[in-house]
Amino acid sequence: MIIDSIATLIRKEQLVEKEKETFFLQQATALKHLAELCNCAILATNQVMPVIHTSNPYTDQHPEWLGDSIYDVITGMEYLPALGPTWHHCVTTRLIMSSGTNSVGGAGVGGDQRFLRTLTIGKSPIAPKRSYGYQITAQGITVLE
Amino acid sequence: MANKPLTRSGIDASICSLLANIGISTVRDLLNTSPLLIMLHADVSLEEVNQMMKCVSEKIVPQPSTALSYLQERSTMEKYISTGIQSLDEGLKGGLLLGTITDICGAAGLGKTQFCISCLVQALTPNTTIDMSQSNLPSVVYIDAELKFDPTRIIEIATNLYPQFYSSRYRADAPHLLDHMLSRIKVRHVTTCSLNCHYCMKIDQTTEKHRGINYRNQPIRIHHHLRSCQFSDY
Repeated sequence: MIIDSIATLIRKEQLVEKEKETFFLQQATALKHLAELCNCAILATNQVMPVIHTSNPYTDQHPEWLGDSIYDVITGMEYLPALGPTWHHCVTTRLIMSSGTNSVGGAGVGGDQRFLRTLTIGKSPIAPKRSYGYQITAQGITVLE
Repeated sequence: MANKPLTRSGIDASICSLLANIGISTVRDLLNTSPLLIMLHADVSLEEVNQMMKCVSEKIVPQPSTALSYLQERSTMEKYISTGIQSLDEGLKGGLLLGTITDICGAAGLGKTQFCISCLVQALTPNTTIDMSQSNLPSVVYIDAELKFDPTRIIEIATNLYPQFYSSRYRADAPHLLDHMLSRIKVRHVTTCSLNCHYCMKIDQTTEKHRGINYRNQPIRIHHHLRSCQFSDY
């Protein structure tokens, strides 16, 4: 089952802060129950939210639950996966797409700065954290070796 | 499982009928009733009551699994769906884990939906030959909240990734196989999470589930699981 995207659906509910945690857990329970019953995999796409750094450490938003925030070269901003820590605990596996730079051709040759897209295994019960560079081609997603 | 009738839980039939007169018909009823009441109505001793309680408890207790049985199960059953990307499958030790939620996040335009479509094509395409007469070919449910589902991109990826099945240059019946693949994608447009939840619970409750979602090569597994839940109460 593919859900594109779970963040859009949850945001449309327009919940207040207090209701969110219960709501996420209910959604996750329903989906997990279905996944176990039908022995299917559920793939949900999520979005990102920007991290706002302030000079006050008490209001600074960088939480420890994720570890590294995602740095997007194109916009120059830092992001965290949307829906917060509750959803982070609800999912079993998390894949993170981000963009970085890769100098193609080398600096001496007047190399072309390409934005390399990276797919990272952010959370998994058995897989170690690894990153893969990829491109979007006619065959879908092609990982660069 | 506690709703299992007493008649199938190893209790003597005559005692079952005596207990049925006071409304005790399932294991749950028996375990919730005081032994004194059972002694009075079934005309049995306290020892016999304790023996009955032990007997029915053993019938309904769930059997624990061991780590060894999990490992042996994993080697015989497929626990993953491939993502279509070989190095990612290796990194994930197989692919998307069945029975769990996998979340893919990223900023706009990085390819999340493309990844979904890649997994979709991979899930719908078997490893060897496609026999369309089989009724247990896998299906995918696609819940589209962003209203941007486009089958043309699916056709493009399928044709380029598996030309041996879906390209007219390699197979005369490629258009039929493409149509058949597309017919196994159930698309659902939902606007709120509550509606999505409701749809999922509906899949759970109705018979649509073993028509709509079939796991590759093991469709009977879904049916069996449901039936076994029913049978454990039977």
